[in-house]
Amino acid sequence: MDSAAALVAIVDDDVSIRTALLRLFRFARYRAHAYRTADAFLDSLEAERPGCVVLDLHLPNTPGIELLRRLAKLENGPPVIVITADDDEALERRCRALGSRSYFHKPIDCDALLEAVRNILDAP
Amino acid sequence: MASIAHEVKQPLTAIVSNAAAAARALEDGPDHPHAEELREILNDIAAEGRLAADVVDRLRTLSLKRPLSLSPVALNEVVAETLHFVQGDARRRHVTLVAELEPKLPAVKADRVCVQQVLLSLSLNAIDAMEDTPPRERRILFRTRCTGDQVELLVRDTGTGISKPVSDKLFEPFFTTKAQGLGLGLAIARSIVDAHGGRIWAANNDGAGASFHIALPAFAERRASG
Repeated sequence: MDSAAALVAIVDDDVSIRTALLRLFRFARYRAHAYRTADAFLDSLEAERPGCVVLDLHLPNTPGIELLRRLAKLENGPPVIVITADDDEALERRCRALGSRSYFHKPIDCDALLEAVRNILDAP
Repeated sequence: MASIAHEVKQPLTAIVSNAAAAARALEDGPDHPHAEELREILNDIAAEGRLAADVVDRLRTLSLKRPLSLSPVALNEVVAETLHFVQGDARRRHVTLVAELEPKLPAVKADRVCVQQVLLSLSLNAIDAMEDTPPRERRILFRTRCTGDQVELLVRDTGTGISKPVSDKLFEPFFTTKAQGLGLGLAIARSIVDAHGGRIWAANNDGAGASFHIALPAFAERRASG
């Protein structure tokens, strides 16, 4: 596997969803790492900046929207795709205002998710 | 209900995403002896998972998402709007729509959007119920009248009527006689009418078909008596 290929980071507190998405990205030939919490993900940033973050909003401790806010403040912060089981239009507007590139309702349309990731990673 | 929806959608997400991942994996081994059937299986798993999520979304409408916004509503106007909405469907399926609206009907205390939804449900059910009725006899009557402190609406069709076993479960969630139905229309209608302090019931006609009745409290206006 090409170690220089961009990394997809998955942040979701549900282990079954992390496992499924890791499989999805692996079979779609992406490098992907998954994190249970926003803090675990933030800790990983020192080692490697992902090319794209797939972020669940419903996280323990630091909520997803807070992570989105922090990433938005970073210089060259990674683009974020939000995935959520919440059906809240105000929340969606806030995420978009904070710069989330795409917003997916669970259960996710996986082909559309892969396309959104591809669009981000292929962008020059 | 919102949190139940959330909890159910999490495992559904894992199911649907795993099916998608497996379908991707299969692309690496298209020579597998059962590749085509496996692909169909995975598509079915994903589709049924999405359907289950859709059911959860619809169930949420059973528990009203927002508090009712009650105001004086002219039921005759809502009936007229409903006729307008369903006239295309009705024409296509050779159904005549008839309205007998009591003039000077008192307003009801209601959430207009919710009442509209109930009327649409009843109208579309009535159209569906007349599939086997000869086209010339397909007719829905909408009638409003005032009965004391209540306003009643009748939606009468000339369809197949309601059999005894069906009538017991008519308003239960997920009970349906339609091949493509989820069985939530009348359950939602009842939850809406109940939330208004009203009543909804159904009965077979003397002739062909069935009638659905809704009674809603009239808007209490303080009038100077004298």
